[in-house]
Amino acid sequence: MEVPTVTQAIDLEVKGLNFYYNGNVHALRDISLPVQKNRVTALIGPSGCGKTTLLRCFNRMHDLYPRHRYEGEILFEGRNILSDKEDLIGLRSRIGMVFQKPTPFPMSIAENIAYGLRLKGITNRTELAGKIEQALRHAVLWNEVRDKLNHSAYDLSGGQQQRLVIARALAVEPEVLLFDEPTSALDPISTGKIEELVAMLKQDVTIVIVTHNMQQAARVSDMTGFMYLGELVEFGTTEKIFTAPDKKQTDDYITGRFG
Amino acid sequence: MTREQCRKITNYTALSLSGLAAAFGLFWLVFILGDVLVHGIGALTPDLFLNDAVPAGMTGGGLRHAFVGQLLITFAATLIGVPVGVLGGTFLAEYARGTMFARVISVLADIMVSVPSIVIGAFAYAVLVRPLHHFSGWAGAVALAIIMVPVVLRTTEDMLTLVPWTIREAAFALGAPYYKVIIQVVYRGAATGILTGIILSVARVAGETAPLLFTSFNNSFFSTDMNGPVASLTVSVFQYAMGPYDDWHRQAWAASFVITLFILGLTIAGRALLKWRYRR
Repeated sequence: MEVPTVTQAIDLEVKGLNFYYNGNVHALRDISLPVQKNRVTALIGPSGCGKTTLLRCFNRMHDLYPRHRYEGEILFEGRNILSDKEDLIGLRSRIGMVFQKPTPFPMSIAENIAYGLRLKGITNRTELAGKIEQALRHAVLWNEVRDKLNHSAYDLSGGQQQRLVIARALAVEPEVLLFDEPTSALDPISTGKIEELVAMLKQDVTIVIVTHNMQQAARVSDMTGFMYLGELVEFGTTEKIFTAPDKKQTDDYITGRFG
Repeated sequence: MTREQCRKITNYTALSLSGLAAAFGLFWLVFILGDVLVHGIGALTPDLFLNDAVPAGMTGGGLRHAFVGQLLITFAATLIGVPVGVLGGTFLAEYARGTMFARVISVLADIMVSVPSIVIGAFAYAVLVRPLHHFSGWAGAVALAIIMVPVVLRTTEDMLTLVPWTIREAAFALGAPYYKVIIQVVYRGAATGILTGIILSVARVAGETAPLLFTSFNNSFFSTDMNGPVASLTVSVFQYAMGPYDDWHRQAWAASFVITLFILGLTIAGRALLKWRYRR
């Protein structure tokens, strides 16, 4: 497959990745793609095409479940993170993830953010308070929650919860943030806010976003990969994929003829 | 007779029968509780809580030794039973989730909940009383703890399973090791539920007599020595109720009333906590 000339530095590079779960279900087939630094890379495709499976390879989320197998490489700073020797705790603190449904922890708003910070060994109260504010400002949530930091995170609306979760992920200062359909459980206004946030965050982190929503991919991403039946059919700049794709399958999908 | 009439009659019959059955059950419940209330309140005196037993046949005295002994045994049982139950439940829900092993243990725990408590008393007797040649408060506490473990274990398992799996994934995704995910996130989410299970299990054992008969036995004197026989309210009620003296009967009623009130209080507290949890 032809990969467009890359001018941007590469953060994560997938090379010949195959993934199997439940022993031998072949979910990803020979995937290769570069994830560029400080850009938004979107993965699109119909349900079951493997886009979430690919996303969960980047932080080795599959390792929580038995009977999975990786083949191939994902290079992060020149190191293959699929190696058995990879320190998963360290990896996950550098490659954060935001899930489809908001996942606040059963504790206060401030404690939610503090959780990740404490994992990093920050225990000083003043330092924690400063970092909590910084993270909430970063996720554009500070003004809405500044007076109720000690309230339960469940008191927030779905959109606010999702931004809280993003703030929590940002607080540990990851290099990469993975978004797994972050707006599929949200209303249009909350969705708009998350999209603005994603576009803004790419100054600081590299973003990979899985989405069902093609308009969303077109709005927020710089690069887009179209996946189908476990294969990466086409990868290129978002503009090219949505205006002049090389493959007929891609064209059919983005114009709504299937999927 | 038309079909509709037939259905109406069936409906009416089923309704009356189930109503009667409920009334029958409720009647005895109210009767027993009412009886304890009527006899118990009248027999309550400050002496009951402040004095120890007097020699058999003499009037007066109280059950201070039994109140203290009961609290001691129940407290020790909680200290033994709760950690085992909570950790066991955690193992089943977290580390062994979905395995055959976990399912077998869950079913065994469910069976253990309904094992007659006297069997557990006999077991503690065989293991902790006979080899040591004397009754002891510890043996009683262990017997009660064995009754508590399956209750606490199953509640803990159920409550941990209720915490959505995605919350754990989110904690893992931040780079948390599993033990920190369990202690700092999952336990937080399940805390009120587990606490309710603990309270209800304490309520369950606080009224037990059979397991104590062979283990902590009874003691007419004030004793906090858990290595020897320790008095308990339930066994005292049993002994006093079977005795020939009116004053013993009076004290047995009063003690029954206090135990009933204590267990009722614990159960209400447990239920209220559960309700509060689910309202959030």
